[in-house]
Amino acid sequence: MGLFSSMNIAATGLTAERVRLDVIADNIANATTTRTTEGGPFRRGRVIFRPRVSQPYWRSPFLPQFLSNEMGRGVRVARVEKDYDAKPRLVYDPTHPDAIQSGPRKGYVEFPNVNIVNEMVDMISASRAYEANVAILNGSRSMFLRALEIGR
Amino acid sequence: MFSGSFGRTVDLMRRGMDVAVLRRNVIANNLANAETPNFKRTVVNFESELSRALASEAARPPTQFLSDPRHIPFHQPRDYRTVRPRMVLDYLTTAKNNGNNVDVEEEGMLAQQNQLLYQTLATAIGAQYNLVNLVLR
Amino acid sequence: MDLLSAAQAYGHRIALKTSDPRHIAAGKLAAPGNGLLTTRAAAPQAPATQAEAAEGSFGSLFLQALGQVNAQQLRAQDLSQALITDPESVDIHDVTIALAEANLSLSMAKAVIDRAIRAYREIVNIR
Repeated sequence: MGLFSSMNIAATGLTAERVRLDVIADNIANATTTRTTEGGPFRRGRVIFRPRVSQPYWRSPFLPQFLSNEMGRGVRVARVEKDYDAKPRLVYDPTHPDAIQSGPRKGYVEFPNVNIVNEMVDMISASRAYEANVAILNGSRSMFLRALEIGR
Repeated sequence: MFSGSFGRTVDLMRRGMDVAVLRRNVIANNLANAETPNFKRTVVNFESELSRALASEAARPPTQFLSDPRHIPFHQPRDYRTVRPRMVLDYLTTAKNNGNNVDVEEEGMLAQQNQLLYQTLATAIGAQYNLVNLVLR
Repeated sequence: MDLLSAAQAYGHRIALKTSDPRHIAAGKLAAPGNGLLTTRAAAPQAPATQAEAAEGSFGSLFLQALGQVNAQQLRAQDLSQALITDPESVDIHDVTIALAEANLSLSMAKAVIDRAIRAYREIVNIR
């Protein structure tokens, strides 16, 4: 197994946290985008993490999903999905070029429902997890170098 | 050639280093999955079991008389070489709202301790070999 | 948690009585170098040890010790080779400890041989 596999696991954590940070940056940059190519306002993105398991083997379907006792291999980004659960914010502005022209919501503009405070908190936790993984990498490296000095 | 107390000390330290590497991998996995929903952290149990095995070797019960050498004695000391590390899933606690129970600070602290222990064992094993080299050279 | 591993269960181990050494007893699985796979594995070493006078004589002990030193060197070589072919399978501290032990046992063997030869020469040169 060795120390290389702890480095691999930390590397998967770094990749996943970086993807999350990218999505958060995208959300913050597009916090007031009212029209996108697929129509409608911008929807905030969300990353779904799943743990990586080494080999799938048969497991009883009655056990909860993550109740296994094998050695994990880190984390992977299952998908980056758009959050269609939150309804967009409605702001009344008839002079806006993207205002709704007809219907019961005439004159309202749909703004994306991106809460900056939530995004900042997510960003803080993502960068904290990133630093923890970097600490694991550095520590593994110094352990390896110290083990090389045994016979000297 | 290395039986006796020298070999036993080095063997114990080598097992400690093996478990330290396993623990480092487990902690790295915990930290990488620190944001995954419904993930439960894993801990490694080894030292307590090893100390129990060593204590069972040291404990000498009052001598019992076996009428036949094939009878099973009362006290069977456990060989410390059969002790293996166990990974235990800590699935009863929850620390965050998404079902995760990884505490980043605690895992970081465990990683630091583990690293220091590994480096200490490496230095100690090197020192053991150097002691014998002092006599030979 | 490997429930099926033999090392998990501890307690009283009672040795199975086998009528033939090749039968598989508890914990004695046939592995290469075990002597249980082929019946001719023990033949080359038999004349060497039987040529000595007694079982505990200096020569036989010495050859045994040299055999262990050789095994130590081979183990160090195997681990170093595994470090190159499959770095994930072997721990680095195992490799360095094996190398240090091989070094140490070879130094000790050399020191013992030097003293033995010196003692022999002293005894031969007694006038």
